Amino acid sequence: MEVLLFSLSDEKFCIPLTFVEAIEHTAQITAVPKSQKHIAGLVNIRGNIIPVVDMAKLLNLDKQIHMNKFILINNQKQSIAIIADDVDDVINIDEKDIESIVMDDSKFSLVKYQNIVATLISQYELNKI
Amino acid sequence: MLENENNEIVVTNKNKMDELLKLLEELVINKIRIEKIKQNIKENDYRKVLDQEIQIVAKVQEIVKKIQTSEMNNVYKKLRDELTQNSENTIKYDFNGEDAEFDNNLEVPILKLLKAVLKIYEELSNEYISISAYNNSSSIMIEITNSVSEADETQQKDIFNKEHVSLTYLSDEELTAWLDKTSLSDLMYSFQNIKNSSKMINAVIELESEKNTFKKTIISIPYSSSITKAQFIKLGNQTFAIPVEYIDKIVNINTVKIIKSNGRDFIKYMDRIISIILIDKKLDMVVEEDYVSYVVLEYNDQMKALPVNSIFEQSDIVVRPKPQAISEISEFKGMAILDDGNVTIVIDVPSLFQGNA
Repeated sequence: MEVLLFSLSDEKFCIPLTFVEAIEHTAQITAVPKSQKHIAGLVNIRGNIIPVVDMAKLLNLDKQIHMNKFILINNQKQSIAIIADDVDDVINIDEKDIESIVMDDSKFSLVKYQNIVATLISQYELNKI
Repeated sequence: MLENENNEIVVTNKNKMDELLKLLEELVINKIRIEKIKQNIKENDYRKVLDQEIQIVAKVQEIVKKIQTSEMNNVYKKLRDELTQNSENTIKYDFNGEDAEFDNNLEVPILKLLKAVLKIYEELSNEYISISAYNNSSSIMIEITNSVSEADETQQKDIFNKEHVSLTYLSDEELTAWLDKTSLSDLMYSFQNIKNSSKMINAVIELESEKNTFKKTIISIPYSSSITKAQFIKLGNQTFAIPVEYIDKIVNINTVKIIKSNGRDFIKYMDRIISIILIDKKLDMVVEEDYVSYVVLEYNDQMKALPVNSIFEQSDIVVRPKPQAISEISEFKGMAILDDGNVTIVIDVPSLFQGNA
């Protein structure tokens, strides 16, 4: 499976390439009052109004993000833009590279690739948006 | 597939058509920019070219609107067929406004919604139901009016403790509480069905009563994108757009005095006392700047005063529906892209008049 590797602060994340539509430079975000905490706002990308998601807030991570890139994804319900500090690479992973972790009340998957360990953003996380 | 005036079917690719329609929306935004630029140009030749551009875009817009839309006639045909199949149904139906138009991807949801509403009218033993559809600048309106026999008026007595109920804005708890006070509590599932069907298409459903009988249902379904004139205002560091159709006047805050009553604030406006609505509080915004003006809003013969920090220009905007991620925020009607490329939020004025706002 091909995944897009990206950074949020000092942590690595990856998302299956099947969800990724494009990578864009960041643009002016319009805040949306009363929206859920992980919705950073709305942005105009090539004439489309796209909600911007702060993945750090969605995953309850205490991270300071620099917002250098938008990763445009489609979670089968809508197009959304994920804020990323940096987009690193597209890598090819196997099932054996994915480790399921259960900790406290949360369940997530980690991907091991060379010297990197990245959290896998799956359909489950995307459906929370 | 499209049907031309010679009844020839033309096959087109939906994705390409959607792309074309998006480009048209950008042309409309450019048309607004051209109109502003034209005001500063004196040379006749340039003005002529700009005028032609504006006219061409307006014509293309009109043609494309026809492609994007279907007529109520299509819905009425299917509804008539289904109603005549039920031989136990003795209600007489009258269909009006066959050429009223709606976005062509809404035919099935509108049919579903109408069937859900008619089911309630059928339960109330109506003899005659009239369905009328018409278009305004931003929505298709469908009004369903019934006549009730004298015997059934007794059945429906005390249904409403108010004359006007916005079904869409009732929470499930409020809906249950309202129905429990009426003789319609058995129809809870039907009303919830209507609420859910209406949410799928951003429709607003209002119920009107007359002499305590259930008389009229008004369904308002917004177009997927519509052009409307809007007033730009600022609250804190956030700019919003308010459709001008709901604005009665903008008044300087220093020219009106606040009247306090029952723990709420009002102002005297013309010969009326109207309540102040703090939308920044409704939206959990922290606004430190002083208010400078009241935007006096009018909806359904009611008025409210909205205090704002700044007033800017009025301009035509293309209102697009809310993305799903923020669809639950009832105070917002939709979004628009400004001529500087930024996104602004369009206020849903009718929602400000609901509940205890």
